[in-house]
Amino acid sequence: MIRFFFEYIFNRLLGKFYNYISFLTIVILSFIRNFPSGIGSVRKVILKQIYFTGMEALKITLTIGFLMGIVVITQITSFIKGLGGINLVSKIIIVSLVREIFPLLMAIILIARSGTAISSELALMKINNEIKSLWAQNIDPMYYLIFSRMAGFVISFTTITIIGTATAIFSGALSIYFFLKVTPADFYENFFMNLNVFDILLFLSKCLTFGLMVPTICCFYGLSVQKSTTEIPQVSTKAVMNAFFYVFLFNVLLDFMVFIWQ
Amino acid sequence: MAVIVDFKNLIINYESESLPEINLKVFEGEIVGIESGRDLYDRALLDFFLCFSNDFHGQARLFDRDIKNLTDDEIFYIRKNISPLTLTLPLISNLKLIENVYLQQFFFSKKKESEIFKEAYKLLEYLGIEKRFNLNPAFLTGFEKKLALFARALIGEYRLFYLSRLFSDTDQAKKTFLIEKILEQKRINDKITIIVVERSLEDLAQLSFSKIIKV
Repeated sequence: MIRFFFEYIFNRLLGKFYNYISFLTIVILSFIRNFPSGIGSVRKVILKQIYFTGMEALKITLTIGFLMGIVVITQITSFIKGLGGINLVSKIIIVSLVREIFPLLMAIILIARSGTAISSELALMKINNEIKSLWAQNIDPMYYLIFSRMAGFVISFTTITIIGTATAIFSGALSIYFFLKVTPADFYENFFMNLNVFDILLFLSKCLTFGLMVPTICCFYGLSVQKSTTEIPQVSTKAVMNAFFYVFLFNVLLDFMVFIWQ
Repeated sequence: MAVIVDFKNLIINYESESLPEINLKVFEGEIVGIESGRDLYDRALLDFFLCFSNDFHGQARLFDRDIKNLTDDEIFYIRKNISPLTLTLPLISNLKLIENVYLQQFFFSKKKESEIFKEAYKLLEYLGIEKRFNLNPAFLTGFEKKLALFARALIGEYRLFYLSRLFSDTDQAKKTFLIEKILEQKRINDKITIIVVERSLEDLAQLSFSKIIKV
């Protein structure tokens, strides 16, 4: 019974993951097949996606980054006061903020903000025959609509995660000055001394993996609608839930990989 | 004259139904009418002409290509030559009216966007909807959408205009306006072939069809 249960779960997970990878492969192949034709119009869609996913989410990113920095530093300093000072605080900030909290937090925000928008917009376009209308004009929707959205999302996700993390570190430096009376210059020196190549690699690999995974899953579900508008909220919910699940799963897998590598 | 469409004993299977047998030969420059009895038939014909479905019996050739075994390049060629003017294949909702008109040109040609924009704007002026150029399709009336589709057809280099239910739900004055514009284009380029699919072709006599078939 237990074996059957685990087999079922494993098959479902792999089956879905296989679908996403196949979908991503189709999108990449469509890019290879079409490029460089249509680059002007695709660039316009990428810029629009960057505007909606990156620029419009910037304010909330900065606010959350600033508050997260204060919260994390306040908690850490109250917890380890007298244990290890600024060196230990820097290490914990790197592990918690840079390696863990920010890529995950940004993924959650962008799934809720842009993932739902992407899946419902594509679903509506498919139901209204707009995808077919593009095919009728010989425009490959996988290239024009999906690739451009993915590219825009990856760029936006990576950029705002870097900006958010930098803001959190900045507000963290202010908090440390307030609580431990350590100057920001000393904090930054310590921070960059403790930051190693594994931290940066893990951070960037999370940005790229989540940045690619979220639009892949959301576009996949968006295009999975058949004919009825009542399917739109259903596919949006599926897209969001699956994106959350795979982001958390890959967060754990990447952490394990780096842990073993280190 | 080149044969654009050649259907012999064609029975199209579509959504678990079969259409009545069609025999049709359309030469370049002709205006042909198809009176179709049902919505399903309209959709089936549209999908067949644009190579979205090819479940059929009989013989079918479009632009001298056998529909039975089309390669991707041949499908590309056929679609490049056909402009479907129908609300079934609508304008793209997140693009402005003028962007919809020049999208295909902008996608495939090497011209600058500003040049293509000017061309598209002239066409909108010609059709009298230039003031609406910056609006999304959701803010356009049904007739304005039809004119936008027509502008999109005129900016391209199509050989066949496929008008499916373009004149339905349109009052007589607007119908006359559309027909005049179509005939004007026909006078400029008499090689353009036009296929009109409607419930009834009685009030479209001005188009002087070469032939009419019933489906």
